[in-house]
Amino acid sequence: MGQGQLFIQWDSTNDCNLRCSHCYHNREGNQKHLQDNNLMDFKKVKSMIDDLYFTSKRWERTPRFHISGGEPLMRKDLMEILNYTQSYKIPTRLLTNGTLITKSKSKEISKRGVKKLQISLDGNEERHNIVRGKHFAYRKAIEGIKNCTENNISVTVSMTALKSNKNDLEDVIKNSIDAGAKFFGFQSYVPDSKLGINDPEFLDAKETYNLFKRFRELSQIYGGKIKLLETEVLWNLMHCDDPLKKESREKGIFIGGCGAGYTGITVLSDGTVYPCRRLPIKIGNINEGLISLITEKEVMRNLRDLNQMKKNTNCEKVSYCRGCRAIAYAITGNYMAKDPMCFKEFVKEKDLKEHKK
Amino acid sequence: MENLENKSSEGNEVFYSSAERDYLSKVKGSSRLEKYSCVTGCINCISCGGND
Repeated sequence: MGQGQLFIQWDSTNDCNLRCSHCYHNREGNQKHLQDNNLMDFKKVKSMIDDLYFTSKRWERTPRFHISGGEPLMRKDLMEILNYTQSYKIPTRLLTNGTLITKSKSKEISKRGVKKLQISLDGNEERHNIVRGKHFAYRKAIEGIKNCTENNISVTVSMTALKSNKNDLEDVIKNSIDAGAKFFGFQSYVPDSKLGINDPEFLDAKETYNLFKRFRELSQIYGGKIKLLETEVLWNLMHCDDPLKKESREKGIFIGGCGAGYTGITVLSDGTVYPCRRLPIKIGNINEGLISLITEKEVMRNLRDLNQMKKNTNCEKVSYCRGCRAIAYAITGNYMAKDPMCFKEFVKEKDLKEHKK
Repeated sequence: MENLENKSSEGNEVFYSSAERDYLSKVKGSSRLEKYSCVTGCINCISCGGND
């Protein structure tokens, strides 16, 4: 890529055919995973996509549109929406549980320009079905990966790393390879803010470091068969230093890391806007326009205040890491605080040397 | 749609509000560092396959 991105992650609907234990919706009063009657209609969705396209053009950034849910395949006008993003040539991804991607559906999606798609696997078959709350979840997700692969849609398997599934990492990688996935990565789990570090699925800093180390070991074994992504924000701690990072530290220039406040927003199915899907702070409604939401809202401005974040976190890496602001918020109530999963203190010189540029 | 032809010049005080200019100055760094190809972080990072 040659320029920065501007993305919208859009929860297209709250409707879902699964009942995942870690779903954001459980904590937002929607345990039934059903859409209310306040769904953004197609006209509003088109307006949002227009806004993304023209704001990206104005700011000379590449637009991206990521459709999640609920389950995006349960949105009845999904294909019309994909037609619309395709008309603008906006790179569009689906973040899906994969269970509804039949052969014919994968063809329809592929025909509308979706070249990559994310499907979640949260463990081996038994564990995945427990986490996802349905006995068919794993089998159907694997079928979905195979159907996408057959229709030239590149699949990234995403695993939410939990206390209960961290030992399943190798199984999930192997099963992803067998199903034909091209990429694999894991995301940290955002604990329930009511429980904080007492959330039984929360991984502390040491456990998180060990998970990253295990991932590196598995990369040595399976890296030739699937691309293992070191893209979750805390990977920045395991990557070697260079002159560019040094310059960014000295000048306080943003060069990467958590994109909250910088590179996009999340829009819920009713138009409510969060800085990130993981960070449930309402900053406005999409009908206010992207420019106003991103540049003027106090929360967004705070997230871009690297000097304040540096003071709060006592960390010099704020220009290219910042940890996960949502995990900081869930545990401390302060989205500007240090990410409690940060394992900087455990990282060894050897870890940095193992980083493949 | 509004005409954007004259609005592509970053920092142009005629067309950009001060909040917008401030924002653009803060994100400008990300565009010159192509090696850090993924700047979205978190869930979006993974969905792009990490190499877009």
